[in-house]
Amino acid sequence: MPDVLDIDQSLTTPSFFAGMGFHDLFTHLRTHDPVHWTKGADGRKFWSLSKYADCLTIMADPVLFSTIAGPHLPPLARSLTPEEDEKFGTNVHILMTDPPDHGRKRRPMNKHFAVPAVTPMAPLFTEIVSEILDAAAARNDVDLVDDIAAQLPVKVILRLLGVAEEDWAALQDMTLRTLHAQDAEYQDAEHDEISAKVTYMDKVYQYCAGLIRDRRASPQADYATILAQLTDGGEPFTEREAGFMAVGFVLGGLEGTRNAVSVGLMELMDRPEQARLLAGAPELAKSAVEEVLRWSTPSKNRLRVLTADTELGGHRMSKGDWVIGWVTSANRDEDVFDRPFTFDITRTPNKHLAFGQGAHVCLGRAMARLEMEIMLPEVFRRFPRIERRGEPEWIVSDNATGLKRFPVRLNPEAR
Amino acid sequence: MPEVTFTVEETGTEFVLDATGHATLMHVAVENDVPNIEGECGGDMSCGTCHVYVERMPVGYLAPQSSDEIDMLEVVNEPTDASRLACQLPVNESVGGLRLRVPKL
Repeated sequence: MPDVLDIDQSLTTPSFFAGMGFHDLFTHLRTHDPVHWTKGADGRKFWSLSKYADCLTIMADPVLFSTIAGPHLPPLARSLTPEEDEKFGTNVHILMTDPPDHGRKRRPMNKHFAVPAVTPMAPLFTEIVSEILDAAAARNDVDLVDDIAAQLPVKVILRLLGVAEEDWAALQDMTLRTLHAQDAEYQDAEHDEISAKVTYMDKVYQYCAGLIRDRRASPQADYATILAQLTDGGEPFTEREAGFMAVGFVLGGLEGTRNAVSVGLMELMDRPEQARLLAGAPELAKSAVEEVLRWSTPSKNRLRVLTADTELGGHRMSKGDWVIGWVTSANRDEDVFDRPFTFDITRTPNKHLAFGQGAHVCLGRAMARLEMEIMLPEVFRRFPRIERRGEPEWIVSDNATGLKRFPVRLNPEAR
Repeated sequence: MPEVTFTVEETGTEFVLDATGHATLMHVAVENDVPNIEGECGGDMSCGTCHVYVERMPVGYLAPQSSDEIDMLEVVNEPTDASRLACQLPVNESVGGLRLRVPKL
């Protein structure tokens, strides 16, 4: 049984989370200490919630549990300075805005991301998936992450937003540096983890603000134009508000899908009978996608700040305390999921919390689901016997669960 | 026991259901597995998966439309003047006799 020091040290060490081995610790916490006061080597102390019900509680009450300190546990568990907050979009980006301001900004966007708005995009997504898999097939030896998983959201999201193709690689790079500041591969000498996160967030914002200005001057048929024209009761959104909406579209759209798809394809490769089942029965795509989302939980934690004293799980919590809902643990909660450690694409019901829940539930979830529903069966229909050419490498992050690289051979018969 | 009726357009199947104990008509439909009503967002008007046409409104039943609902109804399949989101139709003492037609999602 791990001792407290180990638990706290592990929960505050990003490299501990690279892979799936971290789940053992959460299994221990769910049983023995589901509301755990976590003291890391540096930075803020925080409550770690590992049960499904407790994670739901904090997501269901955005007033008591504020998102003003950011949506996820920040690197080094340090609060941002006012200058950093300005660059990071605190109080502007909807993920870092509380009610009633949050609803005012989010409501006008809902219809553009709702299921009936997204479903008609299926032919476009199918075409994009074919394009990606044709290119991969021609090479045969590919990287499952860069050549397949990452390509999907880049081609879908950046095309829909209206980003010029020559800028795709740069935006992709800025996104990785914003979200994976804990991984040495995405760091540079000029920045520490927090300054990297803030600096690259600002670069994405500057790009997006430019898009918004451009579409206000000359509207086009794209999401940048939709965001540029958003109004709040007739009053146009400020450039900063609309710009940060576009930032959310880029960061949320590129990263979660890439990570869920990379892990999902790997898990299916390791379970050829399920991959075969999916390839032969595309009607299983919906439940397969939900299981991939539950299993991978591409974003592991949610940060909330208490706006008043309260009690949770028998613990007294104080106003200002940081509370982390480990949704990755909630998605393996034995009280909610039958055989939680079994990957089963036919699982139903599957009320996982991978997209969050409540006011801040992922806005782009219908898009992400549709992208994955089209891609996952098609990969195994076209390449039924994908082989490993090396080991998968995981992103080092206490939030993102995904792969960096995974060399594979798509069609072992074709040499 | 207030009874409400859902007719599924795709198949013509009629569901006559007891609305007692549910918050809204979306919840009645989801709990009873009425096809083509998903209610994925739980009633936040963010998913657009509980579109229905009101065929018969009982006398005295009030369910005013918010601007957010009108907004969402702009993107659903084939909206008409009878279109509503079932999550915005509350279960109350006047709901008995409400008839809804469920279009394809």
